Amino acid sequence: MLKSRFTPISAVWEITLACNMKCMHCGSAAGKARPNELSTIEALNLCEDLKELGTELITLIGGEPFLRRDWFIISKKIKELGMDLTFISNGLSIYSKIISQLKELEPYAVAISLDGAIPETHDSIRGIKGSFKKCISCLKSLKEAGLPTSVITTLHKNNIKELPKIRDLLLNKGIAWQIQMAGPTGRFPRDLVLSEGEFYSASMFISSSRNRFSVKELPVMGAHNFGYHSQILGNIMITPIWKGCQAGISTIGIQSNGGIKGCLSLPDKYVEDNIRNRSLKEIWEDSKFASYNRKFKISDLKGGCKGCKYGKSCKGGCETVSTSMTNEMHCDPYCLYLIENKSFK
Amino acid sequence: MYNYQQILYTYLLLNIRGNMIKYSAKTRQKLYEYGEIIGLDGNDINKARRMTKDLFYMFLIIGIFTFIGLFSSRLVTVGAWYAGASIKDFFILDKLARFF
Repeated sequence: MLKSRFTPISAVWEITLACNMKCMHCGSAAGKARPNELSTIEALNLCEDLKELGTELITLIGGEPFLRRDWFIISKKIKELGMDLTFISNGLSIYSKIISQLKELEPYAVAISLDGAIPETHDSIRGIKGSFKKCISCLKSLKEAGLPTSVITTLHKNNIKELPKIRDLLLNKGIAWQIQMAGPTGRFPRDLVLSEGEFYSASMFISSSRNRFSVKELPVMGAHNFGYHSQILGNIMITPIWKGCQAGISTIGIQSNGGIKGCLSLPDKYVEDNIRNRSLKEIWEDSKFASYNRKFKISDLKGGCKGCKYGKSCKGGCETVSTSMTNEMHCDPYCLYLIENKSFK
Repeated sequence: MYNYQQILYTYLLLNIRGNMIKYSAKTRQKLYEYGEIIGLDGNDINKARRMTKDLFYMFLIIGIFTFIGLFSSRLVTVGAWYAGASIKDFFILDKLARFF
């Protein structure tokens, strides 16, 4: 087998599907642990396999990652192997002991989900009363502990109008803010997905926030499903470069039962293999893995992306949004360039 | 460094060199219409559009990425933070931008 020219620099690993919240937009419909989640030994071996493949950053998510009893053992192993470590959590179970452990681990980021500016909104989206208060106190504790803290806001019709108020909450706090769009995967209902107009409006908000405030005042960015090729708005992502979906190119998604996808956000039909069947290296280096990206051709573009001048590098935007909205890859309709061509010309 | 030359080509030749929509009265009006959807105020709407500093920043970042791409794969992986940005991502770029 030829050595792959692709490297999973960033791995997103769902270490458990168990969750202590019931978020309406959860893309993996988390709640109970999967029936056959990886054992501690399997997880530790997986860390070594990722290191061998060239992974530099592992993001542990769930479910809620801190509900897995051996999360600290796995995390320590990742750090011992010299890889960076990020956590994405809802903050509900983060107390002083976990904060001490996190300090010991020196993570690259600890990201907490904040989906509203007021308790009513956040609590109703998260399905747990009191979760807003806990989230805010968790952010404060993480900052006081000197940990690199981030907030992730997932946008849909129920919270989009609170963006300016969330900004007020985060201004001058030294907290990185990532804004992303909820797609109709997992248990999120399609009718709450942003319209193209709302999406554009949210993009304007991000662009404006980046223009109005310095990085020190408000380090804000749109996630990978925001901001392609606008001809009008300022830069929305951290860099002005969108070089297409990275699933299977430089990122890999790992499910808690060992299932492997190019990107963890993709629907379950894109689970291509399992590390219990063959090694991660064999899966990654298989010429058929993530062929939708690795073997992408311009003729694969569909819908509004067909014939687009950015198509070759863009590959049609975020594949998760594309498949969940259109049932096809390479035609993400939430593209600023597409929307501007329809509305502004 | 996946498709690196292609990215530079795309941005330098297509995006920056004059294919941008003119900021006309119609564009301004349309931006107001969009901004009002989520209740953005005039300040946010007016500051949403691309400014000269964005173009400068775009050139700067492309330069930085080209430079760093020679030595490290980390920053070249645009989208590596798709699972959760770190404050460090912002300050790496901020520091580099100041350095250059």
